[in-house]
Amino acid sequence: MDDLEELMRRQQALAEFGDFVLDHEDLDQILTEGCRLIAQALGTDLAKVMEIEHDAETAFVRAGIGWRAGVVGAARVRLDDRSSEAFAIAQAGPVITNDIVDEARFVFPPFLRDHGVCALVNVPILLPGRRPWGLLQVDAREPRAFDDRSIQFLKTYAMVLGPVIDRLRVAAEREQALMGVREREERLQLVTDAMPGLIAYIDKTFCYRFANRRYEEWFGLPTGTILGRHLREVLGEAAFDRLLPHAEVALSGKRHRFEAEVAFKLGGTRHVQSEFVPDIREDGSVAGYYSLVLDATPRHEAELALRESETLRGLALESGGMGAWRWDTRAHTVHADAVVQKLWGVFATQQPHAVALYAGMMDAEGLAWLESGTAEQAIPGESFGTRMQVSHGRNAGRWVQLRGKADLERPWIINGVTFDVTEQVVAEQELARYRTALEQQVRQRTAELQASRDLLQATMDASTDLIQVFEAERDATGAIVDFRWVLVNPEAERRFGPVIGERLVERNPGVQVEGIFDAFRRVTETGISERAERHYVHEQFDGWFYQSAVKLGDGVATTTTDISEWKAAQADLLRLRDQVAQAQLRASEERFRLLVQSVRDYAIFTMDRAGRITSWPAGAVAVYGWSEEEMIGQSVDRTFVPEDVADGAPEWERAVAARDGVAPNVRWHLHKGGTRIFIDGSTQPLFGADGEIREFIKIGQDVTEARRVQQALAASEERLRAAVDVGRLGLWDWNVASGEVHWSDEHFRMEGYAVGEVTPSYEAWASRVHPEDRAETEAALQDAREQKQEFTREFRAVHPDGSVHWLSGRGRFFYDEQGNAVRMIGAMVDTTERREWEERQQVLIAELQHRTRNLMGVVRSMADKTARASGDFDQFRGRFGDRLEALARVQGLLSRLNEHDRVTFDELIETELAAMGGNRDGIRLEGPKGVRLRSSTVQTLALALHELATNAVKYGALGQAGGCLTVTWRMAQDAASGQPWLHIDWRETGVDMPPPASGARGGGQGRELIERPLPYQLGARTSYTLGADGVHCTILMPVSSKPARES
Amino acid sequence: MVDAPLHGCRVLVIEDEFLLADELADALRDAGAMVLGPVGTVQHAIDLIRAEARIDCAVVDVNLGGEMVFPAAELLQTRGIPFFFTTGYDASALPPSFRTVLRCEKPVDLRRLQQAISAMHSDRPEGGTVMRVPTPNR
Repeated sequence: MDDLEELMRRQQALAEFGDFVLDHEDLDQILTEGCRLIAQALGTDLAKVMEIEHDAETAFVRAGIGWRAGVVGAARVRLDDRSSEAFAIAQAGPVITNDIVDEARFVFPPFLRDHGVCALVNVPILLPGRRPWGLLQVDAREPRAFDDRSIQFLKTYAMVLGPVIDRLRVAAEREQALMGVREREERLQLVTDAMPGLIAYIDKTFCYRFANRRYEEWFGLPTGTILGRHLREVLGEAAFDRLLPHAEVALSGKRHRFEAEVAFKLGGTRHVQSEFVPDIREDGSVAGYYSLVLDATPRHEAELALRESETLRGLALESGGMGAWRWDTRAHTVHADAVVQKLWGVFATQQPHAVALYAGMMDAEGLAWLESGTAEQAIPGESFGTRMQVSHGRNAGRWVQLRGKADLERPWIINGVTFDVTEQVVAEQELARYRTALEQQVRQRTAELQASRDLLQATMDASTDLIQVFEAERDATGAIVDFRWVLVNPEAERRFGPVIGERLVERNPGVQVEGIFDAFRRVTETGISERAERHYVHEQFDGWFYQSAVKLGDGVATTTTDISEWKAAQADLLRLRDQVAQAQLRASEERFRLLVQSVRDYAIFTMDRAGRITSWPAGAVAVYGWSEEEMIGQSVDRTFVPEDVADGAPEWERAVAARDGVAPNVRWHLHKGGTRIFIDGSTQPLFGADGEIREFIKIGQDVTEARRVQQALAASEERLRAAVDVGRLGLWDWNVASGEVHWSDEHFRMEGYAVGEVTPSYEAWASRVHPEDRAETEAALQDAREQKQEFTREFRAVHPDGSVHWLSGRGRFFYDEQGNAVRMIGAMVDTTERREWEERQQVLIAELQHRTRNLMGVVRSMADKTARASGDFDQFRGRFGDRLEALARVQGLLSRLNEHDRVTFDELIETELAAMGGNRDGIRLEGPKGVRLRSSTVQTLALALHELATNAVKYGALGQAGGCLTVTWRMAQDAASGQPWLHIDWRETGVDMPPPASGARGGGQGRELIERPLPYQLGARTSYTLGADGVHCTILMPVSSKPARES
Repeated sequence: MVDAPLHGCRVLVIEDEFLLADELADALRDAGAMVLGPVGTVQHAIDLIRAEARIDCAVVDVNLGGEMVFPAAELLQTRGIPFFFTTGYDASALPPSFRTVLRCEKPVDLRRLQQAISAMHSDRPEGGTVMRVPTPNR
């Protein structure tokens, strides 16, 4: 199981790394991800990649995973002879240290020990050509024997890393070189842009290869648009024709300088001073020429103006300012007028005077001229002219012009004029100085340009990549139709031959097929650089190329690297990886077989197409009970129960598996012991190499127990349902979001619905809630939902028949992660009976309170009255005690009763008389039993009877021998109300009555308790008379009309 | 009349228990009041209220032999006659419209009852709800 997982993990790691590399360009990112995947695949938490540094004496931790800060990007390892890294590089193969404690060969850097590293593997990373680049190192914190598979995996990984690093490294270098080229070009542009003149480089096809900004401005062209265009196009036909001879001089290899009038694009003509410098290659060929043009128009115009003013001045001199002289070259005398003398700053009083007078003022040039004029005889009529400077005397520094003519007859006599040309000379000198300075500047800039170009050239020449510069060729509409080579480096020339000036598509039509032409066009038009790997099999080429193109002028500059070898290496690598994977797959198949053998929870076995068992591993033995010997070769039918075999289930499964790829196998099976086991599984076909079904594999799990549990669960649920029914619980389950509600049967009934009569819903519920309770109940539900509290509420439901039922609901909302109520579950019970009982209870309690408090009032009042009627405390105690007892007896009678019971008159009278004790011989009671007394009347009547009896004991029939008491009662209908009345007749006889005036009978209060309360409280009519032999009292009172309780 | 704080005050007594009604009436008479009743049934109470032109206040028992006194009490309210209940019930047992009525719990403290009636009597605005007969103070 572990092996298989490990294998999968490693293959996965390689695949993931491959994906990552395709999507990323940054080497550090790629290496870090690589480390992560390696560590994961090998189950370590430390891995790193080290790069050999330039001096080859140290290696630098370039990337890693699991290391503390200060290691990755910082730590270095010395590659000396005790270093495992150096050893691995030297070996060009893996070096393994299973436990650094036992390692005698190497000394390990402190940071490894700091991280608790115990075991490590070093695998060198080699670039194509087996050049060592660095190391892949996997570290474990516990001693570990890295197995061959792990080492093999690491080697594969390192093998993948090499080309990846190389590709990125080469790409980075190329990028850098290209950046350098661009930078240099930019610098060149900057320098030349700053120069005052127009500078351009024109190749031998008369196309512009370079021009500074001024040049373009001169011709009114936007920056960068002149490149690649033909001279004729830029200058115009006529100007080109004029320029052509000059250009040809330069292209012949001679430096050429000339001045010319050139038509200015913005109107008018300019006077330019041009210098063409040929671009001579090492082989002596001329590739083009530099054109350095100074706009000499201002200077030229100044010169013209000067010339004009000189003429004017001459005319002026001739009309006045000009001196005249006659020089006798033999006599060395001169006849000079005042103007001449003034010019020279001499003063001569005689005419003629010595020439020496002037010679003394002359510079060397003047003297030489004078000498020559004296020494050589002039030809008659010959003209002389010179310009000299006055070098001595007052006018020193002044320039004078002399013009003379030899006399026709006496040629030794020269007649002439002299005039001042100082201003003119000064102007001319300044002009010359300016020109010199300008020329020097141009020379200097040209040299700089040359140096810069040389540098560029050197870079291009040195590159092993192919560098080519193309300019776009556009048709009349401006669309690019082809590219023309304008520049290639020697490497490119070596491959392509002489291509400068040729058209790309014309020469290599393959570029259109491969999209190279389109790519160049995109780059030219958008200015966005592109890079691509291309497989180019056209013309003389067959290989992989990595090409990048950047816009340069109206065209592209490209670098192309031949990566055919690298590609081949990569393909090899993929093939190798495939082989490794294949080998691993075979290994995994073997492992799968072992797996099947070892799994015991599942019965996994195979059978042939006819259902004969071909393998019966341990899991099958464990589940079905039969041994391998018993089953191999047997029909699978014996694992099926007989009824399924009869139904053809075994054949059906194989047929479905063959048709659909899998057949469910969820049914009862037979165990060897005859018991039935429930198997949950499937049957699948196994295909041979020819794609035909070879066998079927059957995988199943014994779920008998699980099924039993499930059945138990179902039973338990049934019991719950029964409990709900018995407990008369109304359940609801409300899906708040959908509004769907589920009610238990009782819920329907509680709200007066027949089960299933309505679709349960919130509305169906709410409509049955009593209108008086609805708003509050709904509010309580809303509250519970919002406050996330339990909902508990008692409310009334009104059934269609009008009956009102009290329901007590209790429920809870459930919420999603956002806190929205999604579900509510609750239960209700019918509390109508309980509430009725409670209400009854409430009434009883109130009644009890009423009676008790009344009773207390009665007791107090009785005490008061007794006290007033009593002579002393003993008397009071006796009477009051009696009366309290009477009251107590009544309460006793009343408290025995339930709601519907009534005290009957016979009970009352019996109780009262019994309490008197004593001889009952003289007592006669006559009347019907079971006359029900209203409860509210019992106490008053009892007290009245008590008074009568007490008096009878004290003074009357019950106290005297021979006395006789007859109490008779009967029911009669009252004439006035038609209600049943009780007529009570209390008659004492045989009593020895005291004289009426004595008052000994004490009847004051006794009578009072009969004659006043009974009418007041019972609505009774009473009479009380003291007869000759005893008291006669009648009480007529309304009684309960209902029949007495049978007891 | 110092010993007769309720002099001239016509007090209706509604109480079914004879002994209590008798005691209450005696105490009120002692305080100088003119006792109307006592009556022990709702019907008698209603009859009396209707018959009497002037009732200054009433002492009303809630439970009259199992019958609730509320119809009579409502009549008193309609006529604007101040009254209080003498009862063993607490306020919650009374209908909402009577929950603010003063209650004298039984057994009634007669002295305090006299004070309460006296306060009620003297607080009564002149010419209040008694329409037909001028009060003695006038």
